[in-house]
Amino acid sequence: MMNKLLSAEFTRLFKSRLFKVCMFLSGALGALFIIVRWMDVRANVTAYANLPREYSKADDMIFFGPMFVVFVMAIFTGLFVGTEYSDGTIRNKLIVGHKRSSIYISKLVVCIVANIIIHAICIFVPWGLGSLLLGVDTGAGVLLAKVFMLFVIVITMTALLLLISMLIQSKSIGSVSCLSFMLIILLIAGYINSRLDAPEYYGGYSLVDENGDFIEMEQEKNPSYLSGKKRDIYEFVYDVLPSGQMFTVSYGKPKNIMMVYDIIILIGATTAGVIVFKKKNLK
Amino acid sequence: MEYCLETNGLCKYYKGFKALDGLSMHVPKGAIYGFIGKNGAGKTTLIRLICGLQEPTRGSYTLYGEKNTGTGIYAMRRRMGGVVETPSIYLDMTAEENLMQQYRILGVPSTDEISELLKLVGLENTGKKRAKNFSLGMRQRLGIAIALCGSPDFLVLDEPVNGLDPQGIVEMRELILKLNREKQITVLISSHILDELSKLATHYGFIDKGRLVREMSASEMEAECRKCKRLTVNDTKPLCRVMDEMKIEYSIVSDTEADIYSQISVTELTMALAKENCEILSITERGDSLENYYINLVGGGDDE
Repeated sequence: MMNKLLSAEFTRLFKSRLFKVCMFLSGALGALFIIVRWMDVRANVTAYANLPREYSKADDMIFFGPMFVVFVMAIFTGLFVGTEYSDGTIRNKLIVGHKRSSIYISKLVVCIVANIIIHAICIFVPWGLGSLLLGVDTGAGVLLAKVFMLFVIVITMTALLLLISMLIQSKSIGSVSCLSFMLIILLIAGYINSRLDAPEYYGGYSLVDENGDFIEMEQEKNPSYLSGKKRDIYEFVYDVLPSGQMFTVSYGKPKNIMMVYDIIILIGATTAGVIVFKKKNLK
Repeated sequence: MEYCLETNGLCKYYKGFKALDGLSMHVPKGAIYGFIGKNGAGKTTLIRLICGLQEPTRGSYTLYGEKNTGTGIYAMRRRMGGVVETPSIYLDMTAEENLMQQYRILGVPSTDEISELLKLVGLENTGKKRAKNFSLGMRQRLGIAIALCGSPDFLVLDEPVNGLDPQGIVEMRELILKLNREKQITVLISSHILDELSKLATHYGFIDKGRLVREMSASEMEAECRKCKRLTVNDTKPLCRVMDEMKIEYSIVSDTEADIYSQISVTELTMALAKENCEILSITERGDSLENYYINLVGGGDDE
C-alpha cells in the first residue's frame, strides 16, 4: 500500500512548481555567497593577500547556505503538506482505504527526499562553483562527512516540520508555524552559541600611560561565562537541537553523539505524529 | 436484503455536542440512497465517519459486511469512492493529471479509463487547463470523476449539486442514474434539493438531530406521498363492494377509513353508497411532495 502512496507523492513532488522554486532558490543562494566572495577577492587583491589563506577560499562558504535554506525547507514542508489539507486531497487517500500511518510515513519519506535535494543543491553548487572560482582546501572526505551529518540533521528537522504541518489543518497557519518554529530554534541555537563562545576572561590587554609606559591590564573574569553544570546543560541542548547541530556543521566539527540525538528525535517526532494523526478528526 | 452499508447506533460527539446520536441506517446494494436532513442534522458527519475521515465515538458500521474496527475495512474502502463537502482535487493539476494521480494512489497501473471517465463527466475538452481555473460545476464533476477512479461499487456524494447551474444539475442527475443503472454502483447521496433527490432516489433516510427518524423505499415514499382522497365512512365493507364494482383504485386504512387514488365522481359514489346504507362522514384531500413530507416528519424548525 505504501508503494502506491510513495509513487503518487513522488510524482506530485517532481511536478510541483513549489519544489522547483525551492531548488532554484537554494542553488541561487549557494552560488550567491561564492560569487560575492569571488568579486570581493578580485576587488581587494592586496587586502586578501595579507589575510590568512582561508579568507580567500570557498571552504567556509560551502556550509553557509544551509543556515538560510532551512527557512526554504520550512516553507516547502508547510506548503507541500498543507496543500493536501487545503485542496482536500488527503481525503482521497483515506476514502480508498489507505492507513493513516502509511499516509504519514509516505509524506515523511517524500519530504525528507525533497529537503535533502534542496540542501544538496545548496551544498554542491557552492562547492563546485567555489572550486572553480576560489579553490577549496578542505579534503573531499572531510566535506562529505559534513554533508552526511547535514543530511541527518535535515532528516530530523523534516520530521519535526512534518509533525507541525500534519497537525495543523490550515495551509497558511501550518506554513507560518513551520517558519516560526525554524526561526525560534535557530535563535535559541544562536543564543546558546554566543553564550558558549563567550571568553572566560576579559582584558589581558596593554595600555600606554601619559609617560609612554606600557601598563599590562589584569585579566578579569567574565561574569556571564558558563561553567560547571550550567555549561554542560547548554552544551547538551546545543548538541540536541538540530539548529545547534547545524551551527556545529557550518562552523566546527560535528560530534558523533549528535547522530544519536537525531535518531531519537526522528523516532519520537514520527511516533507522536502518527499517533496524533490517527486520532485526528479530518474534515 | 443485502446491504452495502449498515450503521449500528453510531454516535459522534464533539466537545459535548452530539453530531450523531445513535444513528442506525441501512443502504441496500444497488440503491440510490437519498440522505435527507437539515444543516447540522449530522449528514456530513456520517459521511465523514464512513469515509474514514473520523472515528465514531460509539457504535459501529459495516461496509460490505466488514466492521469498521476490523482490519478488513481497508480492503472494503478500496471499493468506495466519495466526494465529501468540497471536491478533493489538486488545483495546480489538469483534470487528466488529477485522475492519473488518483490512479497512482489506488495503484492501478492502467490509465486507459481516464479519457472515458473525463468524457463521462463532460471534462474531455479541458486540455491543459488547471483545475484552479475550473468553474465550481467543473470542479464538482472532476471530484466525481476522481471518486469513480478504480471502478468503485459504492459512491458517497455529499451535496453533489451544490453550486451547479440548472443544466449542471440535470447532467449530474443523469450521470448518477447512469452509474447506478449501467454499472450497478450503489450511491449514497445527501442533498438539500429534495425535489431533485426525489427524481433519483430508490431509498430514503431522514436524519434529524443526529438520529435517523425514518428510513423507507421510494415505493413506500410514493405510497405515503401519493395524491388521494381519504374517505371516512361508518363501515368500509360496503365501501369496498361499491368501489370494486366501480373499478376504483383504493386502499383500506382502517375499519372506517379508505384512501381513493382514482378520479371519482363524488355524487355517483355517494349515491351508490347510500344504496348500501353506507354513510360518508368526511372526504379529505391527501398527498404530499417529498419536501412537505420531510417538513412534516422533522418539523419546520430553524435551519442552522
